[in-house]
Amino acid sequence: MEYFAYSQRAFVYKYIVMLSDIDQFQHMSFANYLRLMFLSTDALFVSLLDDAFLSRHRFQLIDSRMQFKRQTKIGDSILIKVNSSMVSGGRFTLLYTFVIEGEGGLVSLGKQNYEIRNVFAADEINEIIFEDLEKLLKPISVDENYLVYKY
Amino acid sequence: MKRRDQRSSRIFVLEKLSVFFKHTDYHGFLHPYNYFEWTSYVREEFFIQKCSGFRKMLDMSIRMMTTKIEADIHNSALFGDVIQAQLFATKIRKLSLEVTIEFLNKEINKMLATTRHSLVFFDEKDKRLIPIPEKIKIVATEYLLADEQDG
Repeated sequence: MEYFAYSQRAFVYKYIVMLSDIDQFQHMSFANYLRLMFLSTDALFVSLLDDAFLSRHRFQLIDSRMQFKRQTKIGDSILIKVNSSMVSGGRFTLLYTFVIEGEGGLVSLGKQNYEIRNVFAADEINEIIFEDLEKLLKPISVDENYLVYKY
Repeated sequence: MKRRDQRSSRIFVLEKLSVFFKHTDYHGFLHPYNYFEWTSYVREEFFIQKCSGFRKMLDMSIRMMTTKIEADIHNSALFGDVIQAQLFATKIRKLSLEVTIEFLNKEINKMLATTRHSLVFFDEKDKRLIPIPEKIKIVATEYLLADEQDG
């Protein structure tokens, strides 16, 4: 398992489907794709997640959705491309495109809306946090209206 | 968002999903991923309990597949909370079935989250989508939201 910056326009998290991911039908169970969506989100933000940040802030998921296009099996290498949109203040949207590495077959599309919250007071977020967040999200931001896929 | 009302038909209730440490995040809140995992548990429990022959059906070449899932998070949950899940059908088409699950904290009378997902059925032998198996369609219709039956 590894994560890396694959291009200027997307953050990419790579995952290889393991024996423990699949169910009795020899495919990865749908809930595991959701787990990968959260793992790739964590990977994107890992540089922010020090004790100072975590002692005061948390990411609150507002809503989440995923469409499944094809199944995966043991050994499939999945690239999860993460883009951002609607970045404003402490609110943002993340778009996830799951593809099979190499052949590029579309596995699933995900979308999550988040809000950054102060653990102690709902309306007190330091401006520096917004700047740090934007540094991560702006380089991978896209306009959802101009994408091939509808998330 | 479709919600049940007083005219609703039957609902399937899974009385107890307990929040253990494993389910919590850094700040002690229930991680939203758990709603997706529980969604699969609740729907499978529903089919096992209410649809006779469900397990036998899956021993044949018929596969149940999730094509999309959505979740809205309304309120937080904490370690020790006991969550009740309520399942009902919100759409029944020839090839697909939409199921909604509401997660409630009955102790404080709050809705915590809602998930909606669509299921299709696939014949592994013929490699094609098939109509919803009759036994599943019958039981799903019993649990179909009243508004959908009216309209």
